[in-house]
Amino acid sequence: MERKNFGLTEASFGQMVVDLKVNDTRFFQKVFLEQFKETLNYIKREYGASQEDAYDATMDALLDFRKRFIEGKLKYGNLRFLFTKMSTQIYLQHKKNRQPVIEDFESLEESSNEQVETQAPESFKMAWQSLGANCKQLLTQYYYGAMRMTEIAKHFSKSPVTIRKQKERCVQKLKDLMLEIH
Amino acid sequence: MQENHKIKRFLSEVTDMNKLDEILKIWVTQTMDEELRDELSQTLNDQYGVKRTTGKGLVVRFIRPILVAAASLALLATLYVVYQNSVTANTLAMQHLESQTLKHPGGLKGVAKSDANRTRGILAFNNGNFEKATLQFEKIALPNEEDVHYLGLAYLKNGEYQKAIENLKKSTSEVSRFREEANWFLSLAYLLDDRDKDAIDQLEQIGKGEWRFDEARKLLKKLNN
Repeated sequence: MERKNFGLTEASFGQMVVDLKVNDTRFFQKVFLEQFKETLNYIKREYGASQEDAYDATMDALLDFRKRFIEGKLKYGNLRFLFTKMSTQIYLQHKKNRQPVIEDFESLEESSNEQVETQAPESFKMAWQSLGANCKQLLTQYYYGAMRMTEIAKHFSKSPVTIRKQKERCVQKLKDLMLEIH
Repeated sequence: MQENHKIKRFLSEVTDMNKLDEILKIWVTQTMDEELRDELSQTLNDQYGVKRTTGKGLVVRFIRPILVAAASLALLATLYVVYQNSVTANTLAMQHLESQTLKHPGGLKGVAKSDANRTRGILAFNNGNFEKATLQFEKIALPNEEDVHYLGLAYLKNGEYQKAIENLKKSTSEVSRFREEANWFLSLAYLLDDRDKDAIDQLEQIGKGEWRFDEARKLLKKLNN
């Protein structure tokens, strides 16, 4: 079972997801980057993909995996198979001008629709860059780590009400910074 | 157009928190994914030797120019070794300063009172426009310790050494959280302002285990020769 999950035990898988929620990607990187080359080579070998295309597809799959982990959409089971499968499907999607390939991985279509979004606007990126570290941490946990207010409150040893207010102030701060930049 | 609409909606006073959450979830994810993608690419390259492009074809195609470039580099390396023996502490200081990429991490207190000059200063600093950064940081109504420190660094990068010294000195007290950084950059500022004696005193403040200790020792050795 561990072999099918990149050597992860069920417990260490759980810990990796907890780490990812607070944006600690070290363990995630260690586990998945070791797998990266194997998957990349598989796509090149089986589909005749170029290095660049196989690399991009595997990277996209990796980022999608992170998202699915923190949203609780991927469970411990056969991660190795799913990772290869997802990378392959993303490669095929790119190749066929983003025409979805419907196979047995039903939620991939949902993910491809989400990827249609463009990059974050430049004014947001600049505001984010100058936002304070505390605000960045809180907003990252909430929006990027998909943590609930109660989880964040527990992490900071504060009450959920305090965290909610703090988050509102941070969002306001982001708006102020964006207005200043405009 | 759609992006502008989203920005307007985000900045509007009447947009409710649910909608703001929806927009921010997308923007934050895109921004953080971009950062993570860069970090993963770097690690793949450094630790696993996996690159996005193999470049094999290029090597074969451009073998002659590559050999010429390699020979030139070898020559430059030889000249560099010869040059290093005669290089002055002042030149070394300039090399250190030029090779150092400085980035402002953003205001330390996320919910502190906003000052547009600080924001513009940070953006200018991180874009490498140090002249503009000094102008903006100077305009901050109530500058904090961090503002003063980065103002000093901006002056230093902009070649205004006396003003850099004046500001960096304020960050070298024992209680300052910028002390180690300030000791190093103040030393460079003294050297570049041709105040070798002050530079020696400052470099000696950098203790073993502190930031840039080895480089400080090398500069001291050069200054004392």
